Amino acid sequence: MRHQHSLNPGCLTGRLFCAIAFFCAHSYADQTGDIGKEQVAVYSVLAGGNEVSLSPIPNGVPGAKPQNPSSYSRAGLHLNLKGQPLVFRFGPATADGLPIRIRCRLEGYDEGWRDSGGHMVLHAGFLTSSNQPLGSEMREVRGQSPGWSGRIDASRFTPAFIETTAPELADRMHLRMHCGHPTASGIWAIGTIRVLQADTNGQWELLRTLSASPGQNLHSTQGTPRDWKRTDYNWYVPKVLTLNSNQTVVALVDKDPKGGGGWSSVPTQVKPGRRIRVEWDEVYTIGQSGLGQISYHQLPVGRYTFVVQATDESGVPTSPEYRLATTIVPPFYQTGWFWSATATLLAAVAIYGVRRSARRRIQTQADRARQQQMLTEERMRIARDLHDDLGSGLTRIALLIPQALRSGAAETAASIHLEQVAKQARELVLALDQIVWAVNPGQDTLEGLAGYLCDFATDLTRDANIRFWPKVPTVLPKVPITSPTRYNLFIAAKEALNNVARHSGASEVILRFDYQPASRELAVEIADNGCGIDLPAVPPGNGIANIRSRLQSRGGTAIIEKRAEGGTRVLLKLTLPEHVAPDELSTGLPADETAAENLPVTRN
Amino acid sequence: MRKGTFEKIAIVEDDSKVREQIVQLINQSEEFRCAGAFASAEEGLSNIPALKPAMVLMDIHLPAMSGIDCAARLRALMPELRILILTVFEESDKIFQALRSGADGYLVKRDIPSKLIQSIRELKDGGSPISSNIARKVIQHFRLIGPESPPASKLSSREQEILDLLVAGKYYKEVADALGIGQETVKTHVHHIFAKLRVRTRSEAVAKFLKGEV
Repeated sequence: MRHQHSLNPGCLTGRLFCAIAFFCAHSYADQTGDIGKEQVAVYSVLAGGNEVSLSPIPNGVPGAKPQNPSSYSRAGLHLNLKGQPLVFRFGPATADGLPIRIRCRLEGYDEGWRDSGGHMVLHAGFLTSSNQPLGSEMREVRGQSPGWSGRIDASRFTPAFIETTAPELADRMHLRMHCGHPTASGIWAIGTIRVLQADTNGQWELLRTLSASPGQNLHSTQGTPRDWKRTDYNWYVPKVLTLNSNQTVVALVDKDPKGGGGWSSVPTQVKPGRRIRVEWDEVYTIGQSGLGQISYHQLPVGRYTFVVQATDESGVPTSPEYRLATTIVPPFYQTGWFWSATATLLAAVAIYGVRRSARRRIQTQADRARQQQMLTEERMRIARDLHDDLGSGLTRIALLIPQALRSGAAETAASIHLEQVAKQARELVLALDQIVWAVNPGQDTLEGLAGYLCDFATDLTRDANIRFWPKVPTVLPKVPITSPTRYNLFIAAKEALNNVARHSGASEVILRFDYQPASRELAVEIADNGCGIDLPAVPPGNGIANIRSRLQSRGGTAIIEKRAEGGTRVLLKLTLPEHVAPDELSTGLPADETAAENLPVTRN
Repeated sequence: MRKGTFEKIAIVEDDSKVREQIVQLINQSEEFRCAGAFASAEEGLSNIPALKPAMVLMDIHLPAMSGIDCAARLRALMPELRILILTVFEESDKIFQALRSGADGYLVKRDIPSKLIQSIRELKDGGSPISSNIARKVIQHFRLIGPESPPASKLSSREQEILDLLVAGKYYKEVADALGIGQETVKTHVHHIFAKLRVRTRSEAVAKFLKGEV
């Protein structure tokens, strides 16, 4: 997990912090007073395609490219990576007193120290019977072994192995361990090596062991084990070490910044084609001296410090840290100025957009309300026109029938049918008028319902020769009734009145309309002096069920019963809601603003 | 065809079949003759004043100008004219408007074959039956008039009594019996009530006429 001090771009405190930190980093480097004693230095930094030179490269540092910069700068770096990796080139500060090993880390990014390079190798090489080399398998070690803990005495040996197949013509195998490069430095200690060979059944058999002992002078680092021979490289790098546990191991202890050394083992007879396994326990810590180069890819914007330090072969520091403040500058599109400008712009656009959409929404609402009203008015106009056109046509039919009847013989079958046609036509006109009434916004009141019911009853009873007694208060309170409620109530009452006219044989009918403001209860009663309803005998599927369902659908009740004094009573009861939503009324406008008289009756 | 004793009646009805039927019924009667039959309010307004009929039968639903407007203008032009409104059914809202504008009574169209002549006679005598709902609307209208209105535009107590009985559903005869007065008296009272309804309307219409807006 990488630990980052990344600053919030565009955050004011962040930018302030960055500025302070830059000064601090610079001044810290001055205050240590150690400049010049670090023994190491960063030569140059490559960022975003540009190379910044910081220190001269001393002569003789292998791998260094010649530099001819105009000036060197030790000041803190502000780099714009432009998406490219950040590369540090570093190494010894001077040619004299080269550090044994150089380590580095990027504070704010790396968890711990890193070696800039360096490795050692163990080869398992095969030879023919005439000592011709046939090929080898190898293992490289770099960095630190898992068991390394700062001192070889305190470190834990961990297992390692090489597995390979002895090639054709292989007669013997021997091992060589050596430094991978002259600049490699560090310690690699190996315990007893076991060489195994797989038999024809696949079982491992131990061919031999290779270890530091037996040998001569094994108490000395320059002792000579029986199984191992120093390669004539540097005789002081390969050492025999005696550890606390009195274990003797062969090791490479490379303190030479410019050289290395190695061990070579005695050969082991092997059979060609067989699996060979070489296993051992080891401990190591390996780095390098000389030029180091390290790359950091996709480094986040932030403030870092690149630190380089000289150490000994075990990794113990031998010099002060060379610290280089490095700030990764965000590309312009990540800078605070850009962000705040963009944010301001976006905010302005957003506010503008919100205002506009709010205005448009209000406008749309107003438009919709207006549109709704226009629609309702148009609907009314259409209904009116339909009513007038159809109504007059149907009335004409109704009027023609009596004429037809008079001109023909009375009481023929045809005349009876014609009479029915006339009746049907009249009922259609009535139905049309009722629909128009139902959607007429001016009728959304108690008065609208009561008046219309009375008109209907007057019409019906006159045709049926029934005496009509309205019991309706002269002035009703201006209570709004929604279109569905009054329509359903009307239809239920109409059903009851039709029953009176058709089935009751009554001579009188009472229509009572009563409203109690306190309880908001509306009661409509139709009572007649006819034969009285006999509910069980009434066939199903007729108006009785319709009456009940109409009332129930609006939350009311219908009582249909025989009167004690004879005849039938139909009582419709409904509690009007306290608030009526504007869209439940036909237009939502107060009823007295849209009286029926004000509706245009135009025909083209 | 006898001359001289016929009452002249004019008709404004846009439906030709109904118009012809009415003309036929009137001309078949003994007291009345049709002086003119017009299909629109404009035609009627152009011709009726010259014809000087005793009564006009006016359809409430006319093509351009409505029957109510036409009744108002005719009323302004000819104060003694009797106007009978023809409606499809008991549309008391419209009927009341017509009464306020200048009509004297109404007749539902499907009653034309059976009751046309009877209604004309009743209207000639001064009274045209109104439904209980129309009586209610009359009462409501007078209740809305403020106390500062002239007494001429308010109902007398007798007129209020009559209206209350009409609202209850009584016929003119029953009202007369209940109040102990003659039926003709009842009709006269109702006629006065209508006149009071029109007081403001008439003066407005006259003013408009004098200004040349009619």
